[in-house]
Parts: sequence; structure tokens; C-alpha cells
Amino acid sequence: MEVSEMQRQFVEYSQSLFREGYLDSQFTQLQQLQDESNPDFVMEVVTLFFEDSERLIRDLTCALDQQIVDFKTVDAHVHQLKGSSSSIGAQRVKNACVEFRNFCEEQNADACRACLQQVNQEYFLVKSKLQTLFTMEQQIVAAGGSIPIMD
Amino acid sequence: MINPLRQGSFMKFAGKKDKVTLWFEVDDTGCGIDPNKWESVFESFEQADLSTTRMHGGTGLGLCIVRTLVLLALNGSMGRLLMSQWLHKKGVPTWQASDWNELTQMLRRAFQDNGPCREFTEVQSQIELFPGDTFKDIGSSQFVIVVDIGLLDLSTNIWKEQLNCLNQYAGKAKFAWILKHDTSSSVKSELRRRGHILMVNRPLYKSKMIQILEAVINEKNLELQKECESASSSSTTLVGDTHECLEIDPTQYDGSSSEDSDKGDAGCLGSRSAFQIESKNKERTRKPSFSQLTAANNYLLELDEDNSHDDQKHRNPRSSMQILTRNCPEEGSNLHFAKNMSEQRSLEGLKILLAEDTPVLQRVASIMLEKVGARVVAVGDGLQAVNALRCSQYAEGCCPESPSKDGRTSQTQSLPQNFPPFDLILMDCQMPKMDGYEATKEIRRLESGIGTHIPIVALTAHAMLSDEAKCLEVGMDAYLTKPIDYKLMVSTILSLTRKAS
Repeated sequence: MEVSEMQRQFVEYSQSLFREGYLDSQFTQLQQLQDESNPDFVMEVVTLFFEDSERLIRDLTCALDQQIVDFKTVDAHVHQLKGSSSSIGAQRVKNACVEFRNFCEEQNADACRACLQQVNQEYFLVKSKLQTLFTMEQQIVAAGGSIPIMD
Repeated sequence: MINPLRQGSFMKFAGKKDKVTLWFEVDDTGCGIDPNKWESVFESFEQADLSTTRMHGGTGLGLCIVRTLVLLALNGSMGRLLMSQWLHKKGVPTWQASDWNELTQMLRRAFQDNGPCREFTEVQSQIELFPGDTFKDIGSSQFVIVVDIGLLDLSTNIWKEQLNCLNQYAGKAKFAWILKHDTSSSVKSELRRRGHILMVNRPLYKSKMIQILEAVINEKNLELQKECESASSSSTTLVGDTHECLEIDPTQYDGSSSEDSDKGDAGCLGSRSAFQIESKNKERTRKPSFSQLTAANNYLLELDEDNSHDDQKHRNPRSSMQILTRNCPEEGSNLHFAKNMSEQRSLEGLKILLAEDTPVLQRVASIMLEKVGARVVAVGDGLQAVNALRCSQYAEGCCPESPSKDGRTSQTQSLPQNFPPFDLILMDCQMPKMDGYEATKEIRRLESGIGTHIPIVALTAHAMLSDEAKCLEVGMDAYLTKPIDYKLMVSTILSLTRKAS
């Protein structure tokens, strides 16, 4: 495939992620912080997000599995997940967390579990999309092209 | 160092019920420096011989002559005078302007009016001081306009208009800017965008002046060379490319300026002598590979006008690159990033305490701050933040153990010894153990005894007015809502720490 075709596909894919709400402007900020002196900034941060999120989701699953659910703990985890997802621009994950916290306040265990499922789903979706995006980037670079800068 | 009490200052108290006004007056009883000695204060930087910039013919390389005229638009009159006198001694006629209005007037008269005007005749009389030159040389002259950033009104948007005004002279003169060490990167990139690629930091040492002139002359020579038929243009120079920037790093030069005396190489016009590497650096010049050099050409102003030898062509870009990078790394990998590195160090020298419990955010903010030059200590809760601050106050670096609420002494985070005091704290509002509000209250309480006030910026997930009120109430100086806008964060930090610089 020609580099220009790869670049075009990359742009299209990126734009779709924003359009469909998977990513928001915070992700763009991170992209803007990346440059030749910090070439892997976005990848580093996103990898951190993946590690963190999977840990939190595990902890949440565990907490909600208890006989007596400690909503304070659950809320603390969701708060963290909300913070980290919003800081990298994973909008849908963040929104799912917001909903989740409401049910924590209400101390509604079943609703919380449903929310956890939702969060989990959104997380894996955005993870796979970001990984696809990175793969496309790597292919462009390997073919000698440069990554188109999004506005 | 003025000790007010010793030097005879006095304080007046004007009582007004519960208000007290303090007046401080200081008398400086120092003897001052004898005007005759002013120049010698800068003597260590006077070693350089500027005769090569005199640009007489007969260099043997077939390059055209460029005569340089300098307009000094600097704030301090003493600096202008000294620089002016020194340049005259070296054979460079000068003009002076002390503020923006004077600068624009001079530029208008010099470039827009027809026929000789007062400024030209002034310059002519200066030129006549230098034997061998005539007034008509001005036609092939290179005007250099050295402007201090202080002449721009940066507190409003007027400065952009001022730059627009200078644009009209862009083809007729070369501008060199004297910046402050904390001049923002947005100003720098705006300057660059408009084709102003020569920038140095204050103070304007003679060595920097030399380098500016050399850069200008080299560029001009290259331009003339292309017009002249003498040299073949097989060089890969990118002259006047607005994407490039020549930022002369003072840390590279100041130590070496006294060693720059050997400008040698009389046969090498506009020799790269100003960009000579001292011998101790020469080993490093061998490290970078040629492919990196070609990449670097996109970022650096290449000053190589000597096409005669291939190896020389390789050697010189390398030497320019070495000078332009900040930290002359052993490996070559950072060499092409001079432009971005120097552009991005807007928070250079600041020590920031980051209190944030969300790991991703902690990491992103730390990386981001470090990349713009700040030193960051990150902690995960309010209690650690308070302790970190306490520790930084102790010169010896021993951390006192602070009793926690339940009576047991808490373990403080292990901090490096002799940790310098922080310039600013970024404080997340919601944290476990002790939240941002409580931590701030505690910090302000501790400070009330000492009289310091460290700027604290709240990082809050909420944007409601009640949160803002709460932040102010506990003594925070500013707040940022999450998700963080990093540019806003940097400018907030700068505005809260600027008065310290």
C-alpha cells in the first residue's frame, strides 16, 4: 500500500474515533505534546492507562463480588478510573464512570454491576481502537512516511 | 548585598486604626564603579578579535564583501553605549535606539525616505573614521538590527502589531533578538514564524554580538554568493528558511568566550570561528552520523559556505550543531532536536510539587512538566504533600516525623537529601488520607509562622463556583479543572512564579 493511502486511512480512522465519541480533545492535547524529542509520549501514556484501567476493573469486580459491598471503596476506584480515562481523552469510558458513580451514591449494587459491565465494554473497545491506531502509525513510519497532524 | 539596617535605611509607621503602612527606604553607600573601568568589567569577553567581520577584500575565496551596520535597540543606555563604542573599535558603524518609538523612527528614516538623511550622514561620518571605506559601500551593506525584547509590549497583544510593523523591513535588514531567559515559547515561535531566527538571551555579551554578526554575515555572503558566479552552489544550505532557528545558547558560550580569542584563519572569510569547538569538545564532533546531520539541516541554520572540500562541508554543520544543542550529548540522537528542546523549556529551573492520586494523571502531568524543564516531585495524597513541603524547608534534608491523626507517627515518603524548596504546588482536591483543601490549610498554617507563601494551584474535577470559593477560602492561588489543559497549566505556573525570576 502506498504511504499516501495509509495516511489517508489513518486520518479517516482518527476522525471517526473522535466523531463517534471514543476520543475527545484531551487526546489531541496529548498528541500535541508529542514531538521529535518525545516521540513515544502518547504510546507511553496510553499504555499506562491500559495497565491502570485493567487493575481498577479487576479491583472493582472483586469489590462488587463481596457479600457486603463497600461502596466507598467502589466509588474510590471509579473516581480513579474516571480521572485517568478523562485525562487521556477516553470519553466513553469516562461517561460510563460518571453514571457508575451515581449508582454508587445510591448504593445500588445491581446497578453498579451493570455499570461495571458497561465500563468494561467501553474500555476494551477504546483499547482495541487505540491499538489499531498505533499499528497504523507504525506502518506509516515504517514505510517512510510521517504521521499526519490532526487539528 | 544591601543590608538595609546597616546602610541607613529607615522605616516609618503610619498607623491607621488596624492598618499599618510600612515604608522602606534604602541608601546605597557603595562607592560605585569608576566609569573608566566599566569596560573592563566585561573584559573577559573582549578577547575576540572582530577584524574578520571588517570584511575587506582579498580573502582569497572569491566571496563578496559585506559591510555590516548595526542598529542597537536596547533598553539600557550604558549597555548601548558600551556596545556601540566597542563595535566602532572593531570597525562596525552603529546606530542607537532606546525605545520602540525611536526604533521605528530610525527604521522609517533609514529605509523609507529617499535620499540621504540625518541617520545616513551620521553613519557616513562614522564610516569615514574607518579608512578605506566610502559611503557607497552602504549599498552593499548588511543592516543588523539588534532588538531587546523589552521594546515589545508583551503585556498586551500590541507586540504582534509591533512585529507586523517590523515586517516591512524584513528584506532590508536582519533582526537579532535579545530575549529574557523566561521569554515564553509562544513569543519565540511567533518571532520565528516571521522569519526572525536570530535569538540570544540577555545579557548581550560581546561574544554573543560577535556570533550574531558572524551569522548574519555568513548568511549574507551565501546570498551574495548565489548571485555571484564565482562559487558553484553545491552546498545544501537552507538560508533564511523560516522554519529554522539559530538560538545561541549562553551556557555554551559564556564559559568559552574568553577562549574565543583565536579567531585565526585569516583566509577563512566569516570563518566559523565563532562556532569553533574548543578542543575538548572535538571528540564529540565525531559522534553524530551523517544521516542525522542531514535531518538536522531542517532544524539548524547551516553556516557552511565553503564548498571547496566535501569533508569540510560535513565538518562544519556538525560544529554548528554542537553549539546549538543545549547539552552536547555523547550520543548523537538528540542533536537534531535543538529547536524543540530550547523552545520547550518554558518552566526551566522550577521545582514543582505535584500532589495527585490518580496514577495516569500523575504520570502525564509529571512527564509534561519535566519536558518543559521543570523538576517534579510527585506524591499521592495530601499528607505526603505537607510532609514534602516540610522536608524541603530543612537544609540538611532530614524529614521530621509527623504524628498522624491517630497518634502514630506516619512514615514520610523518602525524599532526596538537601531537597531544594519548591516554587509551586499542584494540588489535586480529592485525595485519600488528606485532601487538597486540608493539605492547603495545613500548609498555610505552617507558612504563617515563617512568612512565606508558596503558590498552590488546585486541580479539581468540578468547575462549580462553590468549589472556586472553597479553593480561595483555604488559600489556594489558582485552580485548573480536569481534564487538564496543559498549555493553561504552564501559563498559570509561569504567571504565579514569574515574579520570582
